[in-house]
Amino acid sequence: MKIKHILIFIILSLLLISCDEGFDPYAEFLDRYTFTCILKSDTTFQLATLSKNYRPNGFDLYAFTEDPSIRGADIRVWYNDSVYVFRDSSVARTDSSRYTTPYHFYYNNKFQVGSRKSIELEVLLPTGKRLRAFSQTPGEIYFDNQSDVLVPPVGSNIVTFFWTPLTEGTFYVPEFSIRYRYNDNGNIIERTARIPKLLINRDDNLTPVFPNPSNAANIVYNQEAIDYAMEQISAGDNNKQNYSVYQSLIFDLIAFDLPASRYVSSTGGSVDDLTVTTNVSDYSNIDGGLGLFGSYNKKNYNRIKIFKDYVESFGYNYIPEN
Amino acid sequence: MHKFYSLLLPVFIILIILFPAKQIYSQEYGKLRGFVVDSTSGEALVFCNVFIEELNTGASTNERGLFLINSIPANQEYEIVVSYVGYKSQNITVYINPDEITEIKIELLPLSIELQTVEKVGRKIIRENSTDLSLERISVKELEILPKGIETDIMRSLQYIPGVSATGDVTARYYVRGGGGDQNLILLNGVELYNPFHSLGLFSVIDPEMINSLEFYKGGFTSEFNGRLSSVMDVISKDGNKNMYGFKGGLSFLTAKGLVEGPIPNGSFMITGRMSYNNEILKKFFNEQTIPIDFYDLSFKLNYSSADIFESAKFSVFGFFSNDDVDYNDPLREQFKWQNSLFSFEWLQVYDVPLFSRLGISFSTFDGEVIPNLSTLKPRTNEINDFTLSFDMEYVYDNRDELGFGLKLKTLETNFFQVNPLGAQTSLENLSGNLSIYGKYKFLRFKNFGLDIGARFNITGLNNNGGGIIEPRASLTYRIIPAVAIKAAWGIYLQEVVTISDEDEIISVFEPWIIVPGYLDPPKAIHYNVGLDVDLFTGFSLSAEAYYKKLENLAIVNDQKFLASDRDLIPGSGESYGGEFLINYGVNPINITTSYTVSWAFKEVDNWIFYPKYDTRHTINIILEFNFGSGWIASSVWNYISGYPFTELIGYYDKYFLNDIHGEDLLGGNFIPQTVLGDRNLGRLPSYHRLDLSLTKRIRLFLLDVELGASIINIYDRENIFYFDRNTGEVVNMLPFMFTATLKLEI
Repeated sequence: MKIKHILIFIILSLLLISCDEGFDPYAEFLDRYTFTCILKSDTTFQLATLSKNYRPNGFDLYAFTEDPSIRGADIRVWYNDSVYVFRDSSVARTDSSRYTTPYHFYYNNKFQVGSRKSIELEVLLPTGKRLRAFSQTPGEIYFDNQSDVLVPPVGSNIVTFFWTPLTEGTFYVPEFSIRYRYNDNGNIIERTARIPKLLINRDDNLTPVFPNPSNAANIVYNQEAIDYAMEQISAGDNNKQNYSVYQSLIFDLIAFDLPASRYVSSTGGSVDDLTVTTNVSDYSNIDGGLGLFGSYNKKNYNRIKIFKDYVESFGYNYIPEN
Repeated sequence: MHKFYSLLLPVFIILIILFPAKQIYSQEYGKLRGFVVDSTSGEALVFCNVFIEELNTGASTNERGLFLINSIPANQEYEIVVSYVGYKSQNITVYINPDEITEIKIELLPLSIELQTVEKVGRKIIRENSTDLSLERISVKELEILPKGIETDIMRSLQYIPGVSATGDVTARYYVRGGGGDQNLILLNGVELYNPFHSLGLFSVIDPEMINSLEFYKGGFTSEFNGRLSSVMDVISKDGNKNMYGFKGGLSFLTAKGLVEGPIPNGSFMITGRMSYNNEILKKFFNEQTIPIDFYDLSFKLNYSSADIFESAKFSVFGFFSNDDVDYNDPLREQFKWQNSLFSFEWLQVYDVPLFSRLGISFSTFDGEVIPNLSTLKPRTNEINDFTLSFDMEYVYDNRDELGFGLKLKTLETNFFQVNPLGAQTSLENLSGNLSIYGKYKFLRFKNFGLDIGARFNITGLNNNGGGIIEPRASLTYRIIPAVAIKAAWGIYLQEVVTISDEDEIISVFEPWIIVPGYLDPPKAIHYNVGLDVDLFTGFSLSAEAYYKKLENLAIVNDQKFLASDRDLIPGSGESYGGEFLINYGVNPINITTSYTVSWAFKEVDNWIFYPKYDTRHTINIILEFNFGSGWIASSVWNYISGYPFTELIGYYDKYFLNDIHGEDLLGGNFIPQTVLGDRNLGRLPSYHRLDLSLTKRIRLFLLDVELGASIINIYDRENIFYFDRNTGEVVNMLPFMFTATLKLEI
């Protein structure tokens, strides 16, 4: 009898506890502001964006179309003993953004950054809140003499570029491309074709892999990937003679400052496909907000040339340069 | 503080020398030493009761099946009662000679399977002054009766023990009294097992079929154990049938397994193997995703004992291998591989005086590898090579006090390499040695009082700062009245190897082990435990324990490591406290176990205090077993856990991602929604609860013992939340309603 009572008690307790409880993943909404700006060394046009956080109805984030950008903020950057004030502007969107309003940004077209200079930011939001950040621009980039100078390389099937490492932790983004022009019924169109660093085989299809930002002080391009880029110039067009390739190739290298390097590294993606984590490690150097205030230095390596025979083997014309 | 402990060691040694040495009896006494085995297999019976009725005293066998009763008035015959649930009790008459050890070997006959009741091992240890606070002796036969999420798993079953928690029912990873997942020491025949999980942490690699005894210390463990802060699982495998050849086979929805055992000249052998053959059932664990997991584990053990070589000696060779592979056969998806290899040699010696010794030589290796989805990235790898030489001795005095001491020499090599898709690299390679000694003295001379006091001394440490550290430990029991005992334990514990995994990963694939880097001090824990055991009447027992654990110098994964030059680990601290209550009523045919745990756990990193993901406030387990007779046994388990912590969402922001910084687009990238999180783990998921049922039928068909088991998991299909996917808004639940079945055959 006692056991019966115990069992009834247990079942009743179970039923009581089993009642549905609601689940709300949201905490109280608090305003957070995001400022993003990477100052450049290769242009005087400096661009910044400012927005606030938002909470959509439901979890279809792409159904949220209310532009969170903030207008009317006072943005100042101190560089080389001068202060540069950023101005409000907007342009029509050309991308597939979910926002319908014009793309809003801040800009200043009066300065470009040099090497190893202090930069400082202060943003005064319309609410009166201030965001601050500072950094130091990266050092000058020097390419190493070991870097290849010819495509295709002699006695090798890889093209390698080396440079002197900057401050430890610096991230670099290389870009290697072919300059060519295309005769479109008498109209000469100048173009560039990006070269992938390698090709991978997936389901018997070759997929190009382009370099990601990396802290390595060199980059290796497979000749097979260069061949692929050369073929892609005129893919689907049998009139190869309409294409002319310049003798000089372009190898550009961007080096980020440390905050931008950390930020770029933080966007590197998940550790693997199967790990499930409940935390998101985020980086920001904006005091009082989210985002990034950083800079980059860009340099071109102008010694890399392409062989005439190699260009002509694709049916293209060759444009010599001094 | 360090100086205080340094002073403690010489005092302790003097205490040992002065106290027990004198024989305090004038009457003639003898000793009884024995070995209790299963009469059919010759397998040692652990924690078996041996009782001398005339003297109202006795002992229980240890994890090797050995027992020793000291100070028996000599020149008399005694009737010894040897009992073990599931076996027919035996009465043996023994004559005790003065100043001699009388040796006996007792073979107990197992009851026919239809008559067996639910076996309870270790619930009633005869020694009233046993210093066993926070020690759980777990019977695999008992676990096999419980409902199975696919098949019996010792690590999943641990989660029913008060003080042991998990982060959900999908994973077998466990956390003890607020300690981290890497703070649990797992010993397999005395060898450290580094990665004890198959299938991304879903199941244990230790096949229950190979286990002879399993002791689990959830805190306050004494000085023979070292290397972890929170718990010890000490698994001793079976020796194999010494009398006849036998075979066992088993089948579940996931694996097929077998065991072969039998006698060899002067010994026995055992070989076990298990492999996955179908992972369809795993979809229930992975939110209906198909993950191509393949695994196997193999073990063998050889035992040899011959008086021609060494009298009263036993030699064992043990090997264990486990392997897991997740391969999608797709160059754009990672491949995961990990494997453990253990090999050991053990020499157990019983001497003429009441002295036992154990010499162990072992190798334990772990290799884990995540081969990335793009061929230019290097694989993430972790390699561990552990060589350990250990020697332990135990001396039993006439007054029943015991002296134990030993040393352990370990050389450990850990290599860990990983690089993220953007090249941020971690490379940690370390080869180090650890020499430690321990001594302990057990005051067992008083029938109602037991004290185990000892210390470990790390002569050299694996970590640069780990040498010269003393870890004092003490555990006591005082039986106020025969039915009530109060117990306490205290100790300092050191850990010099840790996993470099993020605790916020609720499914963690890759948990590399490393020696704590020299820029950090080795993690340290201080345990304070008190408890009460009450045995009111036959079949009814109650125990309550309270604990406080302080954790210092924790090696926390630096989630702000974005550059190779950033440190991988940063220091943290933690504390946990709570109370655990367990009531058991077991009189055939019914057995009810109810437990309640209330606990708090905190961690502190960078002056920020938060709840770790396994912090749960209230846990209730109700386990009901019913033996219908004729081989039918039913059981049910109801498990309730108040909500697991989670980090709430404040909202989203548009985060800039670099896309084409060289391109003509001035922005050079695009904006993608990213979560803005609230304070870490401040929210709570709804409470978790689940009811499971199982029914087992054992039958004998000619020479074959057959066990059929069926289980229903989450019978009322409770949608327990596992995690919330912030990117999709999807709530991912834990195990749904699920039917599983098992078949076991034994010849």
